[in-house]
Parts: sequence; C-alpha cells; structure tokens
Amino acid sequence: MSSWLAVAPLRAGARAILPLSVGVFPFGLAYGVTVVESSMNDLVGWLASFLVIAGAAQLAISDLIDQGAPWFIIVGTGLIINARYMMYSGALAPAFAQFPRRWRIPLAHLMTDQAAVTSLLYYQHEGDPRHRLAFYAGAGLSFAASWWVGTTIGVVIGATIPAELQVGFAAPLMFIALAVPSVRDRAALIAAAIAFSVTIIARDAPMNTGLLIGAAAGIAFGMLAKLRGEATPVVAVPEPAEDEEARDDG
Amino acid sequence: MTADLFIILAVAAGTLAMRASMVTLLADVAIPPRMEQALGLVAPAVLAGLVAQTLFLDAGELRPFGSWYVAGAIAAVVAWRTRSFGWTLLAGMASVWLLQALS
Repeated sequence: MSSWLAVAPLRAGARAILPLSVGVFPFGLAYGVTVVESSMNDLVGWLASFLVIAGAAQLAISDLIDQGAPWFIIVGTGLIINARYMMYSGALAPAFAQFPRRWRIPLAHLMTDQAAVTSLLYYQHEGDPRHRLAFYAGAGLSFAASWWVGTTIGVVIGATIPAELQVGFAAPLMFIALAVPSVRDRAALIAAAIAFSVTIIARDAPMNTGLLIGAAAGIAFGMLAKLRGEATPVVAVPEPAEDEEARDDG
Repeated sequence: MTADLFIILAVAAGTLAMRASMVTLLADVAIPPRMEQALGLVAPAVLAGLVAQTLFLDAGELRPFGSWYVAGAIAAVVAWRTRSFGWTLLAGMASVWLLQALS
C-alpha cells in the first residue's frame, strides 16, 4: 500500500496546488460564516464540506435553503452545478485505469476543479502510475484540507463576524473567480452570457428554477455556437462529391 | 435539520457518482463527443448563472445598484488579468470595504 503513496510525488502534488489551496482557504472561511448566518443547519452545512467538497454547489445550496426552495430543486441545482465533474472524470479516466481499484473511489471523492486541472498538467509529462496516483492524492487531499479547515473556522467564528465585513460578498466573488477562467472560447462566452442574462430574466420562475433555466439556455446556445463553428469550414471548403456519398453511407 | 441533512446526503451521493463515473465503471467507455462538448459548457454556464443569482439578485429580486456591482466588476477584471483566486478575493473584498467607507 505504501508503495502506491511515494512521498516525493505526494509532496510535489501538495506543492503544485499550494497557491490554489491558499486561495480557497478564505472562501472556505466565508462559506462557514454564510452557513451560520443562513437558516441552514450549521452542523449539516459544516458536514457538507466533507461529503460534497464543492464550494459553488455548497454555497448555492445554502442560498436556496435560505430562500425556502423545495428540496428537489435544491438537490437538482446542486447536481447540475457538479455535473462538470463528469468531464474531469472522463479526462482523468486513462490515468485512473492504471490505479488499483480500491483507490479509485476515494480519490474520485477528492476531485475538484483545481486538483483535476493540476494533476492533468502533471500527467502530460509523468507516465508512471505510482507517481500519478501519489501526486493526485497529495494535490487533492491538501486542497480539500484547506477547504475543511477554512469551513471549520468559519462555522466556529461565524456568529462573531460583524455585518460591516460583508462576508456575504465572498459568494459572488467565488463564482466570479471560477467563472472568468472557465470562459476559454467563443462558445463558452456565449454559454456564460446567455446563462447570466436568462437567470436574471427568469428570476420570478416558480420554485427558484431561474438558475436551472438560465444554465440550460446557456448550454443550449453554447452548443449551437459549437455546431455552427464546426459547420463553417465545410461550407467554405466544398469537398468532392464522392466523399459526401461515402459519409452518407457511413 | 433532517431536511437539510437529506439534501446534503442526496447531493453528496449524486456528486460522488458523477466524480467516480468515468474513472471506475466507465473507464473503458469513451464519452460521446457531443456529450463532452456539452459538459465543457456546464462550468461557464452554471457559474455565470450563479454570478447573476448572487450578485445581481438578492432573494430573487433585482439588487439596487450599489457597491456590490462596482466591486464585482473590479473583481471580474482582476480575475481575468490574474486568474488567481487569492487576488480576486482580495481585490473584491477591499473594493467593497472601501466603497462602504466612502459612502
């Protein structure tokens, strides 16, 4: 077992993700304070940091509980926000396929935007499965630990934080800090702009479904942009007729 | 408490299933390209919607124009230029405190 957790790559993973771990700590703190200030149960809100490990979803859940949204809307919103982990899961699958089975689910639980991206960068130049596993474990665990410590301190000191500090502003800040780097191409920009506008327009939609409607509209329009982007070169460069036929057959 | 716990347990189970999906059961199954493209758009769409919901709305109503809008815009520029969690948080919180002190 110990041979799968070599100390050097474990440390390398923790070191590579360190700036992000430092950055997420105050957000964990702010989440903890938000839980105490919201009508969400403090203990459950704290526990969520260990069971869910996803700041965006956790903040949205505490916000929706505070607004009195029905449970299935809250669960649905949380799962939609976290659906992006399937993308990371797919990207990490080739590396994980070489890990022993008993490690896969515990390591998957530590999957965050930050740990996945940091590990995928490392995997570009490191092929040894043992090094890959230990690096991911070091990055994932140290990053999650920063979130756990931040949340715990936030829940403990939450009641003593004065309103003038405006800790609630950390929630939109966290979403800005995650949203801006996620816009990597034109389709993503369209998806973000549409989701943003529709969420505001649909604010009076029943049962707090505005965000779900906005996100669905954003993804749909982003996909349209991607499909059009793919179609353009085909129109610009007409292919020989036999190629067209061959494709129709296939 | 029970309702909150149920919500967290349900989201935790669903999230673990999605995190583990491809790396365990479906390790040998490729995600269809269209699905992969759509999943790639989940983060920008959902996160932009969350910015709208928490910055421009307050409990479902349009937030009156004020320090949060200005500080949010400053934070967005800092996030774009630095791509750093820490700097974005620092710039945003400092701006909102400063604007509050000035008003």
